[in-house]
Amino acid sequence: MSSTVSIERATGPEPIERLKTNVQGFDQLLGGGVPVARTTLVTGAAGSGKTVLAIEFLVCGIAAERGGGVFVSFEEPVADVRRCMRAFGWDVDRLESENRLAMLDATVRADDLNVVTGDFDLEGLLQRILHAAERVNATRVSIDSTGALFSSFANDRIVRTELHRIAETLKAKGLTVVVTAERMDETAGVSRFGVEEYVADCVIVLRNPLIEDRRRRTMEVLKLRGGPHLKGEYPFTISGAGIRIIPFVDIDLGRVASLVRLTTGIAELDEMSGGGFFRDSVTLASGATGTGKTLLATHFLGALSHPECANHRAIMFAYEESAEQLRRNATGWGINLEPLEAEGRLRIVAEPPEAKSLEDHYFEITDQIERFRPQRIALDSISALERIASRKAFREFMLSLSAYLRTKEVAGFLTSTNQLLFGAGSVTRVDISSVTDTILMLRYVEHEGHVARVLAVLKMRGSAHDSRIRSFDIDGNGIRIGGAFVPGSGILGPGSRQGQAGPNTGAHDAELET
Amino acid sequence: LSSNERYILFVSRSSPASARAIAALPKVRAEAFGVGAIVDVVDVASDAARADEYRILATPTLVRVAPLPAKRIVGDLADANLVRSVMTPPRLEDGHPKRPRADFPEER
Repeated sequence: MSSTVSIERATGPEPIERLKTNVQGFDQLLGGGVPVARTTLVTGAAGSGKTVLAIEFLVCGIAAERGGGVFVSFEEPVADVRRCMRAFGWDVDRLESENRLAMLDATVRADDLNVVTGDFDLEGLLQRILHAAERVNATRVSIDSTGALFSSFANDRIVRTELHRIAETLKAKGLTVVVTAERMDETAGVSRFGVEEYVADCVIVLRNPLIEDRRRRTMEVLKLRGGPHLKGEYPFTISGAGIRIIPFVDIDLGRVASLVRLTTGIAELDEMSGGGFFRDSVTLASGATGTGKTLLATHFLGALSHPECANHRAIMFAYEESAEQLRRNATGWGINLEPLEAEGRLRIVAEPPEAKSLEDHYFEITDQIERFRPQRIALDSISALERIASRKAFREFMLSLSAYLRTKEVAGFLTSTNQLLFGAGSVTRVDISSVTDTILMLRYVEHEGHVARVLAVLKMRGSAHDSRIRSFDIDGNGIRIGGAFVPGSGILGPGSRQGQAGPNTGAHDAELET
Repeated sequence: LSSNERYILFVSRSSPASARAIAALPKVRAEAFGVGAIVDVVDVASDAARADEYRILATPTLVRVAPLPAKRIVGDLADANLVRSVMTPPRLEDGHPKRPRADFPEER
């Protein structure tokens, strides 16, 4: 974590004022915004999202503020840029007709390839930008991308000097500029022509590397003169909602934990957990396949039928079964989900995990929560999501999700599949026990020639809980939790004690270690 | 005299390269353009709309607007031979090389 959450102290004598970009998550990364009346360089390989960020900087900004914006396109015809803007939901035609947005076509077409003889300057470009900026009363300019200039004019020295002069002129006019530049590959220098970064007071690097057979977009603030910013790479997505960055350190440590509890949907489990799960807590149910994790999640949703949850809503995110299968299984356990769905209090979102990236799933979950405003969500299972991402990405996903749920005071119930049928493995491939408040362990045990099921509350943050290992059965009425399972030992793993009875104080939680 | 040849020289007031191109223009006109060719000199600072129309980035830029295909040269026009080879439209081989021909087919 330390490499990603540290805040860089301002090194300059005075901090530079920032301009909010209004791109989701970007301002948090930048520590407030891009430097006002300065140039920010966005660099990345082909397909890394430079153009989209240049568009978002401009349009998110002018949509939120009074000032206008100028988009200078060197590579894509402006018609294509407009189409791209519309795809992200921006009303380009209105912005242009209201003189808030100017699209400047700076492409060099095949039929006007420049023959260069002798000395020249880029005054044509500069004057066009200045006129457009004046017409729309601009505060922001996006330039995409400078690489094309170098190939069009075949005189790198002049282009370099002129770019510098243009940046200085725009700065003097108080314009905040974002310039994109292509990087040859992930390991090369910041920009292809190795010049633009000297012009810029802020450098953003976009990456889209292939990790464990999957592409994962990240953004890094490499340099920002005169102010603090978050360091390291942050995942982001590009979707119909534009660019969204997951600043997974967005954890409000000062937040007061809630003491309000929600029923687990199972009377015995309420009693075992000292009265139910806290409404801003994350619970992880871990067990081998068939031990009853989905059953516990279904009870957790069925709790909406309890009188104390009369006005509550819930969402089930299902990554292993269809909504129809979930309903059928629930009915088999005596839990009827359809009436809750009909009342608009329960929503089932079933999706194959492979359908999108983990970061896209993150935003799908948070978008659903923002729209439906549930008091509780179940997610079955995080193991299915773990399959589609690298370890690092999954860990960051879990950190972000649990922080989000706590902040929104949504009780989360997550299930995780253990690979071992008997005995203990790690709760998940990646250690995430630290981001969960409560861990429920479900296990198969061999008992007098039968396979029995046992359940235990392994840890529960901030609460007394039953530390006994309890046996349980599953029938047409769902789960039936019995008394302490006495004969079994070694269930938690080698060296665990046997038959310890009675609720403990919660001061020393049993942690799962392997 | 009439001509189907039209040129625009985009310049910038403050630039030395533009000043040199303007100075070279009479020679270029005599050597490379047909008799009666129309030549506009446009200052990008005072006519940015024109610069937008022709997507001008650099100054000076000399554009052959007609006849098509459009041609352009960036720079101070110091190399007269290069200017001639790029800009001069194809002509009849009839001993009157400077006389423009209105119905000359477009050359690819």
